[in-house]
Amino acid sequence: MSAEADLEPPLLEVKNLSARFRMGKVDMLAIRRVDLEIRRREVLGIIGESGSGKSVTGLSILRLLPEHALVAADQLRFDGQELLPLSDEAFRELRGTHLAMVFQDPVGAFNPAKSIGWHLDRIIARAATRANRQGVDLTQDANRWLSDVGIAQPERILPLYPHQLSGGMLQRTLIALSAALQPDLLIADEPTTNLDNIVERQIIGLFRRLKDKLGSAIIFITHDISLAAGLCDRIAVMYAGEIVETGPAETLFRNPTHPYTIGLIETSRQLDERGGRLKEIPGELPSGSHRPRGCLFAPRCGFAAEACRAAPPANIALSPNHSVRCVRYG
Amino acid sequence: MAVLLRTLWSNRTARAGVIIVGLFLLAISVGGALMPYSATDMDFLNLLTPPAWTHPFGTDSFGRDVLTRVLLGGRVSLAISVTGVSLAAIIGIPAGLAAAWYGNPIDQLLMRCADLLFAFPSFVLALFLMVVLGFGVTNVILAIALVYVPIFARLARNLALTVREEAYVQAARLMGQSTARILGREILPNIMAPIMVQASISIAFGVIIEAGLSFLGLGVQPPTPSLGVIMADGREYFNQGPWVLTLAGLFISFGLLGLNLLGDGLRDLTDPKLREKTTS
Amino acid sequence: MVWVRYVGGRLLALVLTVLVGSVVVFLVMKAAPGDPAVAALGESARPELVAAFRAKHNLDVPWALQYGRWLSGIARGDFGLSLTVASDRPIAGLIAARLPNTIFIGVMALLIAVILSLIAGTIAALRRGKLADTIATSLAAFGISMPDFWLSYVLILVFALGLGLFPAYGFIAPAQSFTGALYSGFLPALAVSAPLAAVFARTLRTSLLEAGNKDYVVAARSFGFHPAYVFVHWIFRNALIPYITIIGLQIRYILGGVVVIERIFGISGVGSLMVDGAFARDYPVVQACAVVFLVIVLSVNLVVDVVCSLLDPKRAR
Repeated sequence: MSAEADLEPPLLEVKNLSARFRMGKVDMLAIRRVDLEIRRREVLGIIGESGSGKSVTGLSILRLLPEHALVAADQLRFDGQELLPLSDEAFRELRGTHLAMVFQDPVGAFNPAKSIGWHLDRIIARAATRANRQGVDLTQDANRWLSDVGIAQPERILPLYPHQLSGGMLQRTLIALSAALQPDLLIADEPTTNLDNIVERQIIGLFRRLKDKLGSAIIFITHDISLAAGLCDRIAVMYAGEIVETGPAETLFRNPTHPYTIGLIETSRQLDERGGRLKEIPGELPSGSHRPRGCLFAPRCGFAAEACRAAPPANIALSPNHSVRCVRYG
Repeated sequence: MAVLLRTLWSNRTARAGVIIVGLFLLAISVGGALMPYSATDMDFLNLLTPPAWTHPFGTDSFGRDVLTRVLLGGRVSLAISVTGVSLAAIIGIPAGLAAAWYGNPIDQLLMRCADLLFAFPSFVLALFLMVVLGFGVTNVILAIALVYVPIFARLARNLALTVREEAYVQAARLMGQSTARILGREILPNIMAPIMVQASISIAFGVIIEAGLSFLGLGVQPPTPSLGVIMADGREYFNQGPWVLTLAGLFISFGLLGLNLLGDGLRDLTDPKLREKTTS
Repeated sequence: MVWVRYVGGRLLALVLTVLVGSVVVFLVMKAAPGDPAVAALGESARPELVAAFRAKHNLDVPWALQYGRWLSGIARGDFGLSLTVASDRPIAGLIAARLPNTIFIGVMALLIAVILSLIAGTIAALRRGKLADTIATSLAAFGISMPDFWLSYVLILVFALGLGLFPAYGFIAPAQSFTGALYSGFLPALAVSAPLAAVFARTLRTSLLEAGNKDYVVAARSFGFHPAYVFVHWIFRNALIPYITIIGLQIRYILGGVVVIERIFGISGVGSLMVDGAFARDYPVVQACAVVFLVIVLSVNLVVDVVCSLLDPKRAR
């Protein structure tokens, strides 16, 4: 990232975001102390194992969590506008025009009673509501996005119903539909899980084009660290609902500082080299209701000391854009 | 039993059901003995008197106390329904288990029979049977059983089919346990919960079938005081004494409400999908 | 083409079920105790009269032949002659005169139940856990706990005898006056529809809640569609399939309810004909009514299945 781009204010600024679910009388904390920043033409990767709160982070930014979820933040600013005080109706106007999301399970994301063409028509109509798009042929545009993800003749799949398409096919369609909205910010939740390598590369290409041509910002949620390395400008590593390390992708891969990041990178290297079963980081994620008092990773950490278990570590800035939540750097 | 009651208590709907069914059972079991009248005492000085303190449900055209008769009739109606539904369960469940366990052609045969019974309106089926067998308590029981046999058979079959492939069933099979033992010891206890839900709702509808048949004069015959008979009685002089029919029916509705709430609550408790929702 | 095959196959299955059903009905009636001739003519009837009666009612040949004649009669629209209910009159005529009334009340009850349940079920699901939901679900619990014949008397007591808004007894056939039929059929139809509306509303509420919890609703919201639009096209549209399925399953209860209600309100329908036949031991009448009900239930189920397969792209085709 060049120095002048740094001067541009971030498109999305998140400070101290937390989300908890009311489960009967107890609250389950899903994410807390989440700070994020993303600029136009930037891809931010959020990586972590499943259950670390990556998806919840995406959903709480878009205000898509179920009713029994409580979301709070010191700041949730999008394009200069605070999102939390917005009415539901005003927020809805942002979705599908400025903000969009690609879901992890493509089969569940489609209305099973309606054809693909029906979905496409609705989304084009939605995209057309944005003022600066009058006179643009959005249908042609959507078809181009579809062919970009390897669906050469979209008219063939339009009359089909979701259950008649494979998961991979649906995933590609869903990504193309989201791209057709031309959002300022696209949150993609594990978008390539169901896809083979060739299609995966097509999708990555699509995300790059989205960012280069339209200047979109993309939050790319994944557990696949090598995929993130190839696409993302910056990476946030998430563990048990907290961001433990943030930094430019290159720095993070060359000089990981948090023991969890180190573990993740080692694991993926082993996977690349031997192709066999990866040596996972021993231990499990703490559950939402029983959390350690100190550092959340301490029970699984090889470096854990007394100080780690005593109190939660603060966020420490190693350089202007690289920070870590670990006492070893304090 | 204590565990079951405690579980039921945790669900609001089931709790209401338990209370109402409890009150209903208490009323029909000891209520009759507490009343100062008997179901057949006639008081010709008090014919068709409206509800009052001495006769809370009023009296009928023979001067009999309606509440006393309703309490006794509730006992008769419930006993008929429970017997009919039990009979249906005793026949239907093994048939359903056999269909699931042995597969075709037994499965096809039994399920087509169930389909055929399903194709008749339940009340028409009962009516039809009454014509063939004649009227009376036993035949009402058989009619209720006939209505519910296919329902229990199909339910047991569908449930057993899902349980059949479970590891513990397969293990019992490999250990060479007898079919009867596997069905009875491994499968049946695991499908009992939905069957109980069905049974409690069926008993409620069984009471309606009994009352309906007797109401038309095709079921239980007077002087046996089932709820249907009492209501049929009340129908004769509905214009002069509407309380006989209305209050007897209200009493039925009260009992059935309890059974239905109990069934609903049981379903909430046993359906994991719904349980998840109630906690959130 | 696929469509023709599907509906054709279902029609064939319907005919087969009716055939098997008719065999069962016939055999069970034959197993009934008592001689129909004695029932109709009395114990002391002269033997030649009994013989003539048997010949006229097709009772003097072996069972198989009796069944064959009965079935071929039905195929031509001839159900034989009534024994006692309406001596010697063709049953087909009796049924033809009554069937429109039964269907009228049944359809009216169904429509009332659908309207009530659409309102109550939707409100309950939208206001889940709130007061409106509690009221709607409690009303539904009461609704299914009320015997329909008892409810008809309560309705008569309140709306006919009390308020004088509707007639307490009697029914104007729709062929005579359609509005008259609507007016005089309202209380009976309402009585039949109450328990149905309760069952339908509960099903609708559950399926709306279930559909509302699906990922596709979150996805639809992520596209920024209006909540009402999401409700109609995503939630309601998908809840409609189980809702219509349950309507099909309840047809047998509607008809069962109609049988009793017809007697109470003095409606001359197939149900009251069957009850009359049962009292008078008029076996051919009972037999014919049973077959008619069988055909109605199966036809409605067929229609419901076809509608469902149109609504649900995963089915049939």
